[in-house]
Amino acid sequence: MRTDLLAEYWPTIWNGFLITVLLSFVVLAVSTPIAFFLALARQSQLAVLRWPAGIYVNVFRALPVLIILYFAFYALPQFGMSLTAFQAATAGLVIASSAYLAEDIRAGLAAVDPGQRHAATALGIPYWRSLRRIYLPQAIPIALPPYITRAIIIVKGTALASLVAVNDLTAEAVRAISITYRPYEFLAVAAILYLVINALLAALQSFTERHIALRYGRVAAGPAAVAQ
Amino acid sequence: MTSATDPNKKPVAASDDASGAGPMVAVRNLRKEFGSLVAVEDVSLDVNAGEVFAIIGASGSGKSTILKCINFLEPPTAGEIWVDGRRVGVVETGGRLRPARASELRRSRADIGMVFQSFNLFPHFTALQNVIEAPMAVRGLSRSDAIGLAKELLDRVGLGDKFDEHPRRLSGGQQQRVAIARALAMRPKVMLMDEVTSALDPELVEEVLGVMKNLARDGMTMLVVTHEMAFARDVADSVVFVDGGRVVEQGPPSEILRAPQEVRTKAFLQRILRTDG
Repeated sequence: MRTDLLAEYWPTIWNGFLITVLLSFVVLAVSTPIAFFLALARQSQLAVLRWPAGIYVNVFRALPVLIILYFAFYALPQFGMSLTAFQAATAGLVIASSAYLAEDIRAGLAAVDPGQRHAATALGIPYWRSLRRIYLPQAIPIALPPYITRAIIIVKGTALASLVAVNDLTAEAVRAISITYRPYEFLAVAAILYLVINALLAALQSFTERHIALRYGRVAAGPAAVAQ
Repeated sequence: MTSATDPNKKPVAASDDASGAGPMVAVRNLRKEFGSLVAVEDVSLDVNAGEVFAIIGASGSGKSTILKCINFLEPPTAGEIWVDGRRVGVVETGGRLRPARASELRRSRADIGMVFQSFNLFPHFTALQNVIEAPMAVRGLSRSDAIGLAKELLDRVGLGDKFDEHPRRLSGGQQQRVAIARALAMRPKVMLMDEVTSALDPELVEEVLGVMKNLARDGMTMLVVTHEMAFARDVADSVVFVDGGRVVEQGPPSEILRAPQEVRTKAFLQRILRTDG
């Protein structure tokens, strides 16, 4: 272990780490609301919402993320759209991530007993209020574990941004290796730093689950739990 | 006051909310298809204000679908629904009929209470929160007014000591009584009861039927889809037997349940009385 080399390259590694954190955060912060509305559109009665959302999800979750990233970085300039490396990576990752997350959120909403919708509809409660007060409080606990799992996959996926010239954690580690020929040290450091980010996400998951359990009690997810 | 939504061809005389001159609920030539399946065909019913109207029939006969069409939980394929002299789901503007907008449909539904077989209480809300939600969201009641109303109604269904319990802590019979209170909190003109005791353990059925009998005594108009023949016999003013999506026979319970004219009604009653003992 050459700690002196680690110390020498630590500032750039740390910079890469911050970029990875920023990229992950921006991608999740932008993808989540897009995914939420895609999920709602997928469930809509209106074909004009349901169809485009279905096509979007099924196309972009079927493509390799790297292809989407290369497209954003290399192909868009052909159409006169020049993005910085960070912008291109963000756009590409958001497009792919929102398609995945939409399915996780939709699964959570779909797991809510349809009787809940019947009851809210029969009472005349408006859609957005029902969503906020009745469906989401029941869907979020169901969607949370797959959502966080997906978020962890997305954080790891930001490593692909290193291939479109973003100086993220992976890019800085690889650069340090190519100069120093010490793969062990820098790969280990990069791995540990990814672990740190994803450990935080896992901690967020258990914290949120506990919070929800305290607030709502164990929320019954299906009719079986209601009809005794 | 309802001139905009009262076309002249209206089949009911009730233009007056309180007079009870016409039926509270009128169903005209109702038809409902699910794909190629015809679930309900040419059903017409008149339910007068204050009347308890029992719909009986085998499972799959379309009786629950009739109820769901009345509040447009299932939009009818054809036919007319009238509640208190107003067309449900269709609005007349400038002499033309058009489908009701979501907000117009919500207003109609707010006047039509519905109770479900599987209770469908909101599991993350307490009994009290279940009851106050819709009056606040739809009727614009203040929280304190809604709570006052909810407590009164929960008291009335015998749950004055369960305000703060979540549904999972209540028995099926208690949950169903909360669901009845929740529907009543909207001050509905009519209550639709969809096999409300079918999911209950036998010993819990009576407490729910008791609440329904009280409602009937207080003059609530009710359409009750039920397998409880004793309830239909003792409480209903009219009974309609539905088979294959059509009305087979209709009349007072003394006729339909004791002296049915149609073969299919007789066969159904024999079957159900044998299994009920």
